[in-house]
Amino acid sequence: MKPMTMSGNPTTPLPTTDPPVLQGLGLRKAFGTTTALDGVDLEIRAGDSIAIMGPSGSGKTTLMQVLAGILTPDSGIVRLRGDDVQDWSPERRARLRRADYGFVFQSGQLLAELTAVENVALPLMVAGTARRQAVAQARGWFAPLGLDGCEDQRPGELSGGQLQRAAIARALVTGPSVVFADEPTGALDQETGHGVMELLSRTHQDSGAALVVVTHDPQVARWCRRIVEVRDGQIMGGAR
Amino acid sequence: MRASISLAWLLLRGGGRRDLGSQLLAGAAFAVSTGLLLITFGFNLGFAHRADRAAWTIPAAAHPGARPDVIQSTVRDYYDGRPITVVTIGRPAGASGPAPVPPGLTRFPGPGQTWFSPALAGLVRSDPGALKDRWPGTFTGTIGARGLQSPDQLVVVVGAGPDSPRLRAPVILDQVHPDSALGPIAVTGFADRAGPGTDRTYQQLSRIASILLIVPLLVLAGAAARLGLARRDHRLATLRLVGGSSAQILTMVAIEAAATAGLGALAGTALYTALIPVLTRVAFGGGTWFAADLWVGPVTLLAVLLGVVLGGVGSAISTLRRVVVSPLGITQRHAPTGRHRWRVLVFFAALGAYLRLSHGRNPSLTAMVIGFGIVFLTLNLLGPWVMAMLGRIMVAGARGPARLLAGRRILDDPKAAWRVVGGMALTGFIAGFLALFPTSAGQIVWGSADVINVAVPAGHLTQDRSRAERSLRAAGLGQPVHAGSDGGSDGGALMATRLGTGPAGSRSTAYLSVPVTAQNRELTRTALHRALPGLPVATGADVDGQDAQVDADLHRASTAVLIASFLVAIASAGITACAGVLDRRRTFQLLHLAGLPLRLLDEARDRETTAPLLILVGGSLITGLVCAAPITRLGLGAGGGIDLGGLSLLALTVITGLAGVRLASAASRPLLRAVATDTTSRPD
Repeated sequence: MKPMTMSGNPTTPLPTTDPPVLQGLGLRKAFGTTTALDGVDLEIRAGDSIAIMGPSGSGKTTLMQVLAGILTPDSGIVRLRGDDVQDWSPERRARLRRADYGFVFQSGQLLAELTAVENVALPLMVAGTARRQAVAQARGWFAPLGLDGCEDQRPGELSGGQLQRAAIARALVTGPSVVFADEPTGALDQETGHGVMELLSRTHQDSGAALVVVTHDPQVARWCRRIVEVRDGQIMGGAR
Repeated sequence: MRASISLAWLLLRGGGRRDLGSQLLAGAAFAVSTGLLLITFGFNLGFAHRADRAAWTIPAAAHPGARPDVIQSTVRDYYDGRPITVVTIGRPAGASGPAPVPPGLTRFPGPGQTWFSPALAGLVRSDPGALKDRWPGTFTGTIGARGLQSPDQLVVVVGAGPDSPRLRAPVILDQVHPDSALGPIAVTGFADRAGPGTDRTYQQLSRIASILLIVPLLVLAGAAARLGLARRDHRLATLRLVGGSSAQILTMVAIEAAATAGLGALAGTALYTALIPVLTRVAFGGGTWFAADLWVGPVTLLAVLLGVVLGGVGSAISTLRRVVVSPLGITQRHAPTGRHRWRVLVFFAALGAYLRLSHGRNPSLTAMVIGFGIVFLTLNLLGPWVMAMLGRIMVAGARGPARLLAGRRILDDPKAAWRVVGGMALTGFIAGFLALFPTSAGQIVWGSADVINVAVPAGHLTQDRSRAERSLRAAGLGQPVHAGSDGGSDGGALMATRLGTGPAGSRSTAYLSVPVTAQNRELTRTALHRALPGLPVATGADVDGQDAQVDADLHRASTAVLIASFLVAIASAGITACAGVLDRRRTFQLLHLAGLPLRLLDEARDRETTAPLLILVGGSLITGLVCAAPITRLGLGAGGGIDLGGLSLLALTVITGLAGVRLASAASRPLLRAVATDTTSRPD
């Protein structure tokens, strides 16, 4: 996928007639005697962004992991572009995550031994793109994300904000349908976190990908079109 | 300090099952390392003890000016292929003062008295017909352990008067094995003598074996010490967050590593102690061992324990020094620094010095062993540099993600990559080194067991032949006795060539030969001894037996060292692979969550091992061959040529090594899957 220009705006209304790209219907998940999800319904459209908020232990990360195919629900349906994916084999779900989803974690989680550009190119190479082409394509993401000159640096030489920008590039480089971000600013100071969220918000809109952000920080959540609040495994709030 | 100790104990105790598993694995590695180190040191010291105890049997001419107080002759006899050391001693005419008491005896034997070692006394009891009359005199006592090389050594001490023919026989010198036939020589006491040459040789060879095993064992201990790296990093980050100082962290890490290494070392000591009774039964150098021989003693034991603990602590602390962790737990890893070229220079300088030293006119075996040890250690220095070069090449040529990841990982930490394959590369060196040593163990080269030969002075040939024939007839045997002189190619002639009578180096020896069968061989030998006391009586197979013994011992020792180093190398590779997975647990988890296929990680880890392994094992093999050539040139091996057995050993090493390390690496796959698919905890 080609890098986009910075033109996104979180307040642009979305056409509600579009079919949802990702749906969760009646999702339930328990760990032993603890109920993490208790009948959750959620749908996300292309280009939409949603913040899942809630206190620790509320089930917000479990919800993200079930939607992303990392965990299978005990009952309920996870539907991606009309396909029910909750019963797919682990291998097939891994392929799905690789091809259709992008992930941004709290601390970037780039491979320390690869350079920044090689980290961004990695998903393309895993998908079969030749190294030269994958690296060239990955390089195209650096300038728009403000990472000019960092291409050949190693993760240890990048700041926290630069690491997260590189992680965003890695999440978007394959052109995913949905980007999942789990506490993407948790390891950053407020100003850097603000910059990262602005970038994430714009890039997902420009790419047309849906964005799911798990956070406990209202400042982060306000970058999303919708906020849902999870408590005791149930959604308490609705769209903003 | 006290707070650090109690905190370290609290964290260690509260670490849970996985932490306990890591600690147990590390402790086991330390135990194996310590146990094997102590065993190699035990054998090393054992040969020295043996040489010291056997020294009195080898007569050393009295110093000029010293007054001789004993005449001693030591001749090697045989029974059914087993060597018997026959020591004849008597006081010189006119000797005054108390007679020196030989070690293991309670008094100086008078004329007509014989003392047997316990093993020989048992043999005489089991076959009195053949042995009862072989040595003159009456059985007086049993030789104690202080005078015996090994518990099963066959020794007889014969007391003789100054006019005994045994002490008036011509001076006999064995040109090939100077310890086999010596005397009679006027000596002063039995102390301050050099031990048998074979024991000294065995001691040097056991030093080589120790050197060959020490480095792989250090690699294993180093790998074990790094097992809990990720956990320590996490702990460091957390403790820093709550205000812990670097000194406190270092103290805690040191305490934890010392506890693991110390407990492992103690377990290894227990293992070594428990194995001593078994090890005493392993025959080397022609005999088994006294338990005290293989006990290293308190000083060596403490030194090894201290070395293992300090090594474990140093290795654990060095990992903290290399990885600087921020309070938020983000591992800050920078671009790898270039591997210094001085490593290459040091290796080639050591190799060059060793080859120059070993090609001198009269190279000292001790100096060569030291030089060899230095080359072996510098190989460990060169390894990471070679790995870095390989990593660079792999990265430059990578088209797919697996090769890129493998190359980058090698380049990122060549020392860690070396730890995986280093043990096997060092084993390659050992296999190359041992390939030049003989594998044709136990084969008789020129000796025949069907003819007994007696080396006699050339001038006495006719009369000695008559005496031999008379004695054989008196014993009811009556075989013909043939006479000959050196220069032939049969066993007797070769024996006559190597045994010289008269001044050292002279060749005035003739020989008598008597055909024998398995039934009358020992009876014939006894009859010949009675007729020609003090002269060497042996079949070609007997004489050859000593060389065959050394060959067989070398073969067994080589195999034992190779197997031990193989197991150590495979264990190192397995532990390092597991440690690598545990260290990068969180990254693997998140990459898997993001959909990165685990088979890609497997492929990268395989590539990270296979190519370096092939290149390094090949290079080490060649270095081993180069290092062994000068030592085998000294006559301790097959003479510098590779035989079929050696080639088979090389091939087997490469194949087994590759398979072993791949297997050890593959063994960590289930761990990788368990770690990567663990979604019970939050990714961050």
